[in-house]
Order: sequence, then structure tokens, then C-alpha cells
Amino acid sequence: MQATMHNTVQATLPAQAAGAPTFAATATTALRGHFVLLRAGELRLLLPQAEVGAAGYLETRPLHDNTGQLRDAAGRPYAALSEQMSLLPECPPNRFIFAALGDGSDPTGWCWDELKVMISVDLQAHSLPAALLTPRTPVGAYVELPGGPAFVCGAAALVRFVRGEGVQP
Amino acid sequence: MNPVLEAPSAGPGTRQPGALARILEVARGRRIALAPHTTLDLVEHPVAVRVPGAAAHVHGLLSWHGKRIPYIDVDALLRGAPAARTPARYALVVAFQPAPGAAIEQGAIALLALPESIQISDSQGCKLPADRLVEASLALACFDLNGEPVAIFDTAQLFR
Repeated sequence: MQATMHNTVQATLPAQAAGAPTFAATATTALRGHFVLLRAGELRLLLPQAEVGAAGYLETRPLHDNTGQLRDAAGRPYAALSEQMSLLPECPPNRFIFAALGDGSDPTGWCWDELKVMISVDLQAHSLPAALLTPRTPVGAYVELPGGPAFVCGAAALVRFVRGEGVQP
Repeated sequence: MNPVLEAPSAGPGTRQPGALARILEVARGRRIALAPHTTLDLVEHPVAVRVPGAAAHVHGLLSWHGKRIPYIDVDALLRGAPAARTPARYALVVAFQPAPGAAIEQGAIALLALPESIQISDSQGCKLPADRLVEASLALACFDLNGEPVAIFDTAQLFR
């Protein structure tokens, strides 16, 4: 160990030579347009409205078939997310509303506790700190909304992440 | 600054034989050391907002002084394991500079107990055990504290 303890501990001092360091303000981006807030327990996601299909109410609870896929009596596939954004094997009882995600080619009904359409809103998206992210993290920013932050996400990123995550035991 | 984090000043221009270090119990059986000037505040019973798909050692976003800052489990980071599910008693808010010249950012570290401040000297220098590879790759140095090797970290390294 070459450095003295004094030098080692002081080595983490912010560089002062070029003047006092500035304190970082969170990087923000303006978001304008139509969005949909989707909530699954404590998980709150904000998607562009164009990427969320028409909402419907669950009249009967979808049940998993012999492949593990949730389906209603008519055979339509459904999916329900945990608060960690992984697929749940069962649809929780408080999920009562569903919508398809993406360009409409996938009929899967994604089940939520709450679905709120936000028309012509101006929002500030705050970038997530780099320390939280991995190459697989499907969200990169959040907006502050009444009730807490909602993570900004695209439908394709959400579906990719969830499909790669597998079913939570 | 939180009173727990205040340390006696040696006075301007006074060169100490060693250095003051902040000792943090980040898990049972694991203590680490940070430079005291990087520690800002203590939050009791921290509650984080979980971030979907975040790195495994991350607890989430912690609300602090109107900001949301990254809140991590250092023990999980060093073990390559998921963050502990048991809520930590404290979150220590720290400041770090991600790169030379960059603006200072804040983050928070889960703690089991209040931090301690101790004076350490060069004579306490030691090596980390060979099985603590991740810790060794991140640590600036290590010292012996009553028979326990304690690694000193650059705070910014913990938030990269």
C-alpha cells in the first residue's frame, strides 16, 4: 500500500483547483402530449397514449392455461405485472382494467389497478441517476405526479423487459 | 449537517499523522470506511421508491431535500447480490463527484447503525482477504480495525 492513510482518505475530495465544484441539478426533459398512467400496486408507469390500446374492464378473472398463460374464457391472453415489473403467474384481485400495448398486433390484455389518460399535459421528466441503471433497465426517467413518481416507459421496452424477465415464482 | 456526522476539526493547516475516517456498518459483519467530508446527512427509516429493472444492489430512489437520489445497498454491491429486503435503520446521504470537473451529486447508502468517526494511521494499513475480490477491486486501501480489515472507498466508485 503506497499511499498514506491521510492521502488515501483525502483522495476522495472533489477537485477544488478550478473553483468550487457545482452541485448537479437533475437533468430534465419536457414531455408534452397525451400519456397514460398505468399502475400495478406501487409500480407506476407513464406511456405515450399512442402506445396503449383501448381500455376494457375485466368481467371475469383470467386464469392460467396449461402453458402458464393467463386467458379469459374466450381464450384472449392477459398479463399482469408485479411491482418489480415481472410477470405474475396469477392476476391479482385488484387488477380490474386492461389494455393492449404497442401497435395493436399483440392481443395481450395487460391488467392494471388503475389506468388514467392524461390529455395534452406538460410534464418534466427527470433522468434516473446512472447508478441505478443497467443495460436492461426499461425506464430512464420519471415524472413527479400526485401520489409519487411514475416511470416513463415505451410499450416496446416494457414488453421486451417483461418477456425477458420470465415468470416470477 | 446532522450532528452525528460532525467531527472535531484539526484546524487549518494542521497535518494529522493519519486521517479521520467515517466507519459504516453496511451489513452484519461488513464495515467500510469513507472520507468524512463526503458524508452529508442521515435519514432514519428510509423509504425508497423501487425502480423497475434497476441494478440488483439498488434499493431505489430516496427522497431527500426535495430531490430523489439513488439509494444503494453497498454490501449487496460488493457481494454481487440483490439488495437486502429488510429495511435499513438508516440511510447515509453522501456527496460524490462522478468525474473530475463534473458537478457534485448525492446518493444514499443503507446502514444498520449510526456511523462512527475514528482516527486511523498508516500503521493500521493491511490487505483485504483474498476472497473479497469485488471489494478489493473498488477499494482505495484497507486498514485493520481491531482485527477486522476495513476497506476505504472513493464514494464515487460506489455510484458508478
